[in-house]
Amino acid sequence: MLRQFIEFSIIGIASGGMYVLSALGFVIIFKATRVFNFAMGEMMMVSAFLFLTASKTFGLHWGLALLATLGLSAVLAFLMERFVLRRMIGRPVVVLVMVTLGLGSILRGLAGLIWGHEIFQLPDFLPRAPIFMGDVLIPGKLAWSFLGVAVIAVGFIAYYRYSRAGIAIRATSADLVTAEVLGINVRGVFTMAWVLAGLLAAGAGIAAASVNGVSPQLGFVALNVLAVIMLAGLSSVGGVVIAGIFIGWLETIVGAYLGASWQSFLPYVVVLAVMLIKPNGLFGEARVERI
Amino acid sequence: MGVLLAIDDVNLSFGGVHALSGVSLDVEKGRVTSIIGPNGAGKTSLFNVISGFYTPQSGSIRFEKQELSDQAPYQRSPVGISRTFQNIALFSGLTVLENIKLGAHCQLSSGLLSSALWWGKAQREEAALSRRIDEEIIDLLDLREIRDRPIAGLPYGLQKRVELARALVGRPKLLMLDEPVAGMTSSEKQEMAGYIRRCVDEWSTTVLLIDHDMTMVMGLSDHVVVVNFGKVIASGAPAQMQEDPAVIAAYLGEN
Amino acid sequence: MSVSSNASARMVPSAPDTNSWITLETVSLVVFAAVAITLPAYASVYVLYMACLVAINVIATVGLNITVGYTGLLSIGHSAFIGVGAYAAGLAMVHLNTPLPVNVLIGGVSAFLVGLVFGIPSLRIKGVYLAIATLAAQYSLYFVFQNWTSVTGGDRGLNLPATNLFYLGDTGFYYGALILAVLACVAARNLFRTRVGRSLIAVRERDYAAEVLGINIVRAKLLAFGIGAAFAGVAGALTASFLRLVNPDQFTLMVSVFFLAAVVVGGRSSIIGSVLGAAFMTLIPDALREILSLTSPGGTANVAGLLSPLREIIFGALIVGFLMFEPRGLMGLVERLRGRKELVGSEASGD
Repeated sequence: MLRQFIEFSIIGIASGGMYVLSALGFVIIFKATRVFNFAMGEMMMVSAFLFLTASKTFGLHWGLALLATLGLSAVLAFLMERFVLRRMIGRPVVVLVMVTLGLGSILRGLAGLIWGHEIFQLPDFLPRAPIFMGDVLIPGKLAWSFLGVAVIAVGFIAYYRYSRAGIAIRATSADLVTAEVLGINVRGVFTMAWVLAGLLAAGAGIAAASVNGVSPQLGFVALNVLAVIMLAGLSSVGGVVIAGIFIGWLETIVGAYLGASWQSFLPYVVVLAVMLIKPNGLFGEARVERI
Repeated sequence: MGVLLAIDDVNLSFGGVHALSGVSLDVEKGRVTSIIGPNGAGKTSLFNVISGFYTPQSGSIRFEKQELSDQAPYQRSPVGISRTFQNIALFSGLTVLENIKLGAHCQLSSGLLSSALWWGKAQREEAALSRRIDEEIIDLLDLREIRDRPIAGLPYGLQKRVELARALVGRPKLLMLDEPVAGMTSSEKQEMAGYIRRCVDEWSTTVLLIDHDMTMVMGLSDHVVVVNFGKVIASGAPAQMQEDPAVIAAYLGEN
Repeated sequence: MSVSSNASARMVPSAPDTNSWITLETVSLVVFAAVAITLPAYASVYVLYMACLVAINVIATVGLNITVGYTGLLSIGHSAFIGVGAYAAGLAMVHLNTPLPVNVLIGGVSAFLVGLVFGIPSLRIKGVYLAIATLAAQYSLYFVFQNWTSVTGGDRGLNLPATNLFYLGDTGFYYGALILAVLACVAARNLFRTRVGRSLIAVRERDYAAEVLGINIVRAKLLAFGIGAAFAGVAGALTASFLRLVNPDQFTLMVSVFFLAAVVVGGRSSIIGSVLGAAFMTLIPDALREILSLTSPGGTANVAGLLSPLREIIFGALIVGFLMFEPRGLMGLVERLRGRKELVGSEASGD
């Protein structure tokens, strides 16, 4: 009984790692550009397909395929920023968000056109052998993908905290005009945020696909990720880590004990509950509006 | 004539920064009261407290003896408070007339259904308002030529005047003007001062004014309040303020 | 951030201020009315079918335009509210055998009420929260349609009896849909001649200034979103009677993107634009199918597989393309063709 609960908990926490990466991608773009990127789920999905193509079709070693995917995914994000969103700076936020929705639809359609609508399994690059912690069994794939995700997340957060680029993004987020006056290249920051989000999408997409396979519908995990971001607060990098792991855990526990239908409702319940009770999330800051 | 707006010991701070500390002032009915002070002294913060955008940590704001603090911003227009903004806050997608009509939003009553039907109540109400605006506001502020033009593309000075028109159309008891002549040429400034004067004389509107232009402030005001670092440092008749050592120090200190 | 002045958008229903009676507008309106009324006399079954679809989609698009275009609130779950209307009307038809006017009312009211469930929490807060809540609505309502089998019939959906309006069969339905579409357009147009409509535009452009003018912005947003959902519900009720079938796959995210595209393509904040956008978007997938079946050697089976992803690409590209290059949509193009280059309503940042 208890052992089973611990097993479910560990599986849940491990699957939460993928949410953390994806949510970090949302948050970094939101912080830098105030745009809520509804194409994030599709960016993950495309990355997973790129990885699949690189490793299966071109027969690359999984390490090389991973590198290629990270690169291509960053390029894709760069192109989206450079040729679409960059040209729309200064337009109402609603318009920018609608544009991300349109971009997401284009990516989903392209993926369907190129790769079809079947669910593909990624090649087994992660060891499958389960890991035992005492009595508790952890599926191998999940453990290793969690490890990979953790490495990327820690690397990202360190980069965000300590690098010049990270500091520039934070400064821009706090006050765009002042940041510009201080000589920060604000457009460069926007591009940087998108490229970072592209890298995160690649990590999250491969992690998600390595467990559940990939199809054009993979992008729809975005709803779970929305629950994570709502819970954390739209702009909290640290909060996302805790919220992501928590949602992953809660989802698995609810699914295991209450059934899959409750699991599907969970993200929605979390989103609406957070809006009702604590709109800024658990870790988000309330902004003072200047008039 | 009595006090219209009484601000008593208002304190406002944002995370440790005191925007207003212990501010008290009275706005007398039918007169022009001006608030002056260096940039960042807390003038606009005070306006935002009166509008209800900021909630002060302590103190009271009474309008016609009614406490305002627990009223939402949108509940303050119906009691007779209107204002303009430092950075013009017009609706650029609407025409001049539509913008001005919005100033009388609270005096209209057609709801969703009668609006969707149009014939009948809504049409009568809109026509009556258009007529009233034409008669009372358009000529008073010389807006005839641009009445049906969209806001976008109008010169700055005219936009300021449209915003004044929008603030006036509801016949407010208290008209708050946040830097009505900022960024204008001196002839435009004189014009605007003339319009404000006319509103006060013809409708005996009570005005609370913020501006940096001393000539206009001293010329228009009946009463001047000087603030610096979120505190009232002096108040009195305009001539008196020009000689007050504390006021001179505040302004020289800024330069 | 600077305001780009070339990205202009006419956001106002143009006030008729010319004295001449015979304008291009009146002429096109008369021609349109004549064609619309006489259509059943000579149109083929297929054309009448498409005309019904356009009429239904006009209603949903006008509703979404009130939410997204006029009030600046992003709703990503429009098709879910169409679904609520369709299921509510369908259930009423199956269990109570209600006539079309009642179904339409039921559809509108039920979608409005479900809309409030998602709108109330998200509209109290400023920002993109409505978009998030409506996306949640999209997924969770789809899930309800699919899994509440005892009521909704699950994946197979509900099969409905035929509607016989005015004792004219399909023609009767066409007139019913046409009347409702015209009513929806006229009501929306009227709304924006009055205080209610003005207050919505004010909220979109500068919410703090709207508040100072005495507009309760939460109420205004809720109203705009509720109207959008109610229009969706009416369109849903009509869809149910029209197709005589309601199933979950009619109400996917792609359909919501379809209606967003219709609003953007036609022209945000324009009723005539919504009509153009809805017509354009309704005809595009069919035109696409025709082109594909002509060019594809693989026959119809091959076409079906291509159609769905191609639609997603086209809907997305239309949204992105129009927002980037012609934010006023087809209405903007029309005005450009007529040589009206007036820069009105330049689109300022609404943040």
